[in-house]
Amino acid sequence: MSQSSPGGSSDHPRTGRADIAGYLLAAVVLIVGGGLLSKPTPILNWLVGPGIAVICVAVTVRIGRRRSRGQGRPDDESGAAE
Amino acid sequence: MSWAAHELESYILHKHVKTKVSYLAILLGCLLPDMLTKLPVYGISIGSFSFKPDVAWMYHRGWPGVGFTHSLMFALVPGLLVLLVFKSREWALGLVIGTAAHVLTDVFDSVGTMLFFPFTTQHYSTQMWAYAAQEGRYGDAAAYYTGLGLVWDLFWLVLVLCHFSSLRSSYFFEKVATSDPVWGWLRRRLHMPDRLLLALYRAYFIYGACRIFGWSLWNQVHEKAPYDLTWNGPDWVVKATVPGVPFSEFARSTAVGALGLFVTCWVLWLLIGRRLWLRAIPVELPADGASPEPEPDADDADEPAIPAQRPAPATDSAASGSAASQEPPSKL
Repeated sequence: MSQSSPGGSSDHPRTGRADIAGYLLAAVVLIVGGGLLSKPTPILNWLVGPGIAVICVAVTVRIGRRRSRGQGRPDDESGAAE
Repeated sequence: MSWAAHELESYILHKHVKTKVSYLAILLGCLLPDMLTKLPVYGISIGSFSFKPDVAWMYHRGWPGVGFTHSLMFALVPGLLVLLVFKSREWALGLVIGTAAHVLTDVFDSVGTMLFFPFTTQHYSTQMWAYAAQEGRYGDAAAYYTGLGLVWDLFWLVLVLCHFSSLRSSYFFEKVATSDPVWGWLRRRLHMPDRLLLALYRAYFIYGACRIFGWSLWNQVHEKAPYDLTWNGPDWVVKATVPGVPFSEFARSTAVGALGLFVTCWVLWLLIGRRLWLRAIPVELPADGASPEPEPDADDADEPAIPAQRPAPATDSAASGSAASQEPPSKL
């Protein structure tokens, strides 16, 4: 999923739709979960909170990749949003 | 104490430091003063053992207590240790900057920090919002996010959004990853794909931003504490404050503290710091360096954007001279 930066020669993985979905999912989990479940859970803890963000992105990227492969498209090529 | 500001400021600091510095070190520095001190402030109990300080602010920010962790002098300790053990300039500088930023950010609550400890125990505080750690984690959160602490965190959030380029993947792979071999290590040893590394870099922004709204929502749903955006508010909480001192004593303490800090830093630099700094080798990672030996990764077919190996150190800067280039590379 490497794409050339516009005007640049470097190949960086770009933020695709799956990544954005992951960040949005993390935001929902942290805000809603934090708002409702802060007391019984350590969801807004300085280790758990960022961990949730990373896990959400990992899960959505994996799902996005599987869906792309299932549809015979290269891995999330069209998903570059940045 | 500040909450989300400590995570968010790390992105701004990395963006504005004009030399190579490790983002992870800045982040760690921003969290370090509270890492081992904040939990006991709220009270901990493990089995039959329980601990809660009688005076929360005195333990957290004062002396006797662990208030020395919130001083500018303390910021030098992790930096010097990293220079000594790991010989990494980027990490040493990052830790100093991050820790100092935490100390300065905490000046804004009603207790403040002992900036010039151990030369003076004078607290420096703008009293912008109430320090309420004595109310426990949830009382503290409610007080912070119903007072000007909320505005403070939102200010930092807006500041990061104004520097949105620091969150872009190009910035991460060209500026962040190339300043710190740890990212390459994470990719090589833990087989983390580049997009996951990028997510890890952005995670504390997501967390910092979301905790502002998460705690605010929690306050609306559970605590229902009223908003009070006045200076030194909210008034509904019993705030901790340090006793005031006459201006003459304040000025004398400040002069002694600032002079003591300056002289000590200078002497430390001459005796230890300069030698350790010259012995350390600045990291030289290519901006878009493809791995010389890319490892096959079934889960991530991408070409790695982070170099898998740290190249042999290049000739050091003019300050270090040719001797430094003969030193082994840093362990980080």
